Amino acid sequence: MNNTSYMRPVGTRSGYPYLSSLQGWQGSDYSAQKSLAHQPGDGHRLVATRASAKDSYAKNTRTLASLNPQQTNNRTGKGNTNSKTNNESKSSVSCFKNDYSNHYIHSGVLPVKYVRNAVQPVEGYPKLQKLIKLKEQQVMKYATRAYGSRVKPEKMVDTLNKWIYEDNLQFDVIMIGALSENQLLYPLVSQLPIDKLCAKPGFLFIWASTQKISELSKLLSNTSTWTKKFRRSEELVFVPVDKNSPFYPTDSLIPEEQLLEQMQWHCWMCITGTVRRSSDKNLIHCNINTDLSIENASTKNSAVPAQIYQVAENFSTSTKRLHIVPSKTGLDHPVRLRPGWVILSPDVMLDNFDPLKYKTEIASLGSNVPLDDEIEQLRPKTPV
Amino acid sequence: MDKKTNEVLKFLIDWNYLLIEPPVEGSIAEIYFCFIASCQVKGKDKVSWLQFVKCLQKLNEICIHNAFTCLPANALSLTYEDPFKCFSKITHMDRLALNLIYKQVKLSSNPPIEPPKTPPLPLSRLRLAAQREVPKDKEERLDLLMELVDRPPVKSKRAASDLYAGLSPLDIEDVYTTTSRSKRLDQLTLLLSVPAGSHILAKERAKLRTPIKPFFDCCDDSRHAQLLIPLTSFDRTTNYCKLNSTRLNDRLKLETGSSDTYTELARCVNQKIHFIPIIQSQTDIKLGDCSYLDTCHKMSSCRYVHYGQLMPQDDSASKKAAQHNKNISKSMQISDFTRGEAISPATRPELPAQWINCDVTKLDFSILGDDFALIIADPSWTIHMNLNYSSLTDSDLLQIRMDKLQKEGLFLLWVTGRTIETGRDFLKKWGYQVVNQITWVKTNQLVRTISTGRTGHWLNHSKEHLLVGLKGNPKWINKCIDPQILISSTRETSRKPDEVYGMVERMVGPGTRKLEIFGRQHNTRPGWLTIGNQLNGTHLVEKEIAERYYSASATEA
Repeated sequence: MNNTSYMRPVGTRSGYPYLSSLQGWQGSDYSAQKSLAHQPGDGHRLVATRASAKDSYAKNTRTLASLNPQQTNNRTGKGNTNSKTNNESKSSVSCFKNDYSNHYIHSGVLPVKYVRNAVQPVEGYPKLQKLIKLKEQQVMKYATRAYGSRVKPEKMVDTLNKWIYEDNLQFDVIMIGALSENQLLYPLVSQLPIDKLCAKPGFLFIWASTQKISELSKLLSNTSTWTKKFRRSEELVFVPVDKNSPFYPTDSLIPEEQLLEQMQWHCWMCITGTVRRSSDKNLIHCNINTDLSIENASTKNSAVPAQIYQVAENFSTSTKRLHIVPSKTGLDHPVRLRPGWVILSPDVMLDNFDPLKYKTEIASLGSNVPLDDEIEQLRPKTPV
Repeated sequence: MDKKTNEVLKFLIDWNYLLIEPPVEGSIAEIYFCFIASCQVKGKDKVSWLQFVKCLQKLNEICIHNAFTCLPANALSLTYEDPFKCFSKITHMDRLALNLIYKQVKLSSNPPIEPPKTPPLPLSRLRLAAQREVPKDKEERLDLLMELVDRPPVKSKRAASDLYAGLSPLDIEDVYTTTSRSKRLDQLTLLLSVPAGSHILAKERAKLRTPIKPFFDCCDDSRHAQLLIPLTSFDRTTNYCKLNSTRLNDRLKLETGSSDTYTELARCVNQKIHFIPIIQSQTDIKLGDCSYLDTCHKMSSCRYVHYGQLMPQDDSASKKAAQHNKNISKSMQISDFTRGEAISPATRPELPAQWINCDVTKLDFSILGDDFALIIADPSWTIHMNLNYSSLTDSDLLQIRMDKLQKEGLFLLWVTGRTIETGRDFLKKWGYQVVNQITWVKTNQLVRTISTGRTGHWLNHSKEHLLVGLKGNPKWINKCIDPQILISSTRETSRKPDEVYGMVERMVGPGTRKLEIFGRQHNTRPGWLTIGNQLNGTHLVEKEIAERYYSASATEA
């Protein structure tokens, strides 16, 4: 290792002559060296800047690939070509890649707009496409009718207690919150009797904007509320595709408050009780969806986009699903109904929930979607 | 109302802004002279001074004494024989009230004084609605009612050009928009959502200073890729596809007037990036794409489909970019907008890349100084997986004196899965407030998010997070320039996207000192000091640090 003295020039040909005089790097010498100083391990940026100057990209990358290790060695002061360095630099010269963040600065088009599988996340994978389709069909087949229960926020705790103690209702999948800023998470949500309402094992999906995420963290780490029964397992993110989207956070344009432009919505997936991903195939199917959803043309404006309901449906096989929207969501985010879900909200579109009817429907439907051979064969599985 | 009052009214509506402003400054006498002058130009009847004052009084009475605010308050009730003796002033005219009167006059006078020039005035629309037959259908009736009460149906909601539609008056006669209560909420929302001037300026500055990198759209037409298979060849040494232009030209020649498939293709090939399937003897198209694509290690035997990248031939954009990039240093020097900026960044030259190969847990951080504008750390968090690099236990990481490195500034910390919460805790313990969470959306060669495999415990992972901690309240930070989502392709294991450096540059400005902890050789770059145990030796340029570092290592030895 060359750490003998900082006063000694390190490089031979392309090293730093200005090292010998510390003022050197301010002089004109420096600007000549600047392009070289960029080089080690610069990845695709390196290829991009070089290649743009000439006609063909392919031709230039080859010359660069042969040039690069040599320069790396000169800089580090090693005369002999180390095979390890050689391999490293070879793998770092990849094809040209767009820099979408840079493009955003100059064009104003959000990087997420260029993601090419926003509509069909498993584009290019026929097996997974089939799996997702089969799952969707099966979930639909074993879905209760769409239920809504219109309850004011201040009455929610009472309603849920009635469901728990009088009607003996329990749910396996519970979602709380929606993509709306005014979800006043803490005061109400910490009062909800979720620990009694949720079966074991049970799954919780809880929403927050980037602003509220600290508040949500506080809630989930608070050991004096129901949240102590749940452990955080995954963090889902939903991203609106442009600034005109109904899902684009409305308070995102206050630069005094925020360091970066707010775009995303966070949803924590929490688990209570014990489930094993290798053995509990009748309860959960892991690794079907990803932790990221991007808005696309088919996303309707609603309190929660359908993509996220789908993540929950594909993950847990339970048919008992509840969604609590603890406050008004505004005209841009209508609380739509969804088959297989009971939706509790002050402004859900339909108020048709009847605990007794629901229980008989669940009894005839079964509390879990049954196993299907084809799905079993297609889905990603953990090696036992 | 008589004709003269009407004329005065019209004059006031037309000129009210100028009359209140200097040099007239609302002096009633001056207004009178202006009015006389305008009458003479138009060749109308003369109005005497006393008549003029009477007209003003009359207008004010109609509005229940709200039309004019005067100095003294009772100015209009005082009578002066001679305008030269009158020094009273009108300090404010209620334009809306005057307009309302004018409208009423126009409605009541039977042949209108002037035919309206712009037909779709809100009021004439109202009149139209009044004449319209009330529809029998309940729904239509509701629509009509809403239209009368509210506003004409807005065509495209949220369109950018529509931002002010219905909020600012259409013209001088539009009293409807500003009085209608239904718009009140929209007006407030608009007020809140209009971007601040400082924000716009900061964004423009970032635009001027950020070099333009070459950018190409990706072709989304799957037919193009299919058509290009026979026209291109994949070069394994460069990993690019090469276009056989003679073959394309042949197809172009064969193409008859009716079909333009190849003409279209030729144009697209010139402008966009194409990903062309590489069909080898073992490839089984039915299996679909390879999960690893360009990073696949067994490309020569893999049965899944791989792709080659065909770059566009057109480089007109890069010339423009080069021009912009040449002017960056110039625009840096002449910047007038210095908000959120340290003193004269243009005169501060950027330091070359520096690095220290060391065990970060053992390095004395007082060597490095405490004035870093920004720190990035990518610790190898312990996870229950076998990785090809050693990981750091949580307690070891927390032991590192990160709190010593900054007086004020930003700390970016890469986290994964379970460590999102741990990372938040650690940042707090080091004296930072977590202010944001950057999401890196991981994409593959085809700019699709990573969605296959089993990349997470319960769900697959297509993203990673970079926590942003803030210490103190630095004035030199540029806020809200970049979005919190970063799209970039995956590279070697645990290698993070380079786009972050661009974002950092825009956040903390040029010429600032930046530190990367747990960096590797590919992370070194000008302006940054990189420390970690996988670097090639030590390279320091700043005298103070170098002296401290070598004297410390000398005493150790």
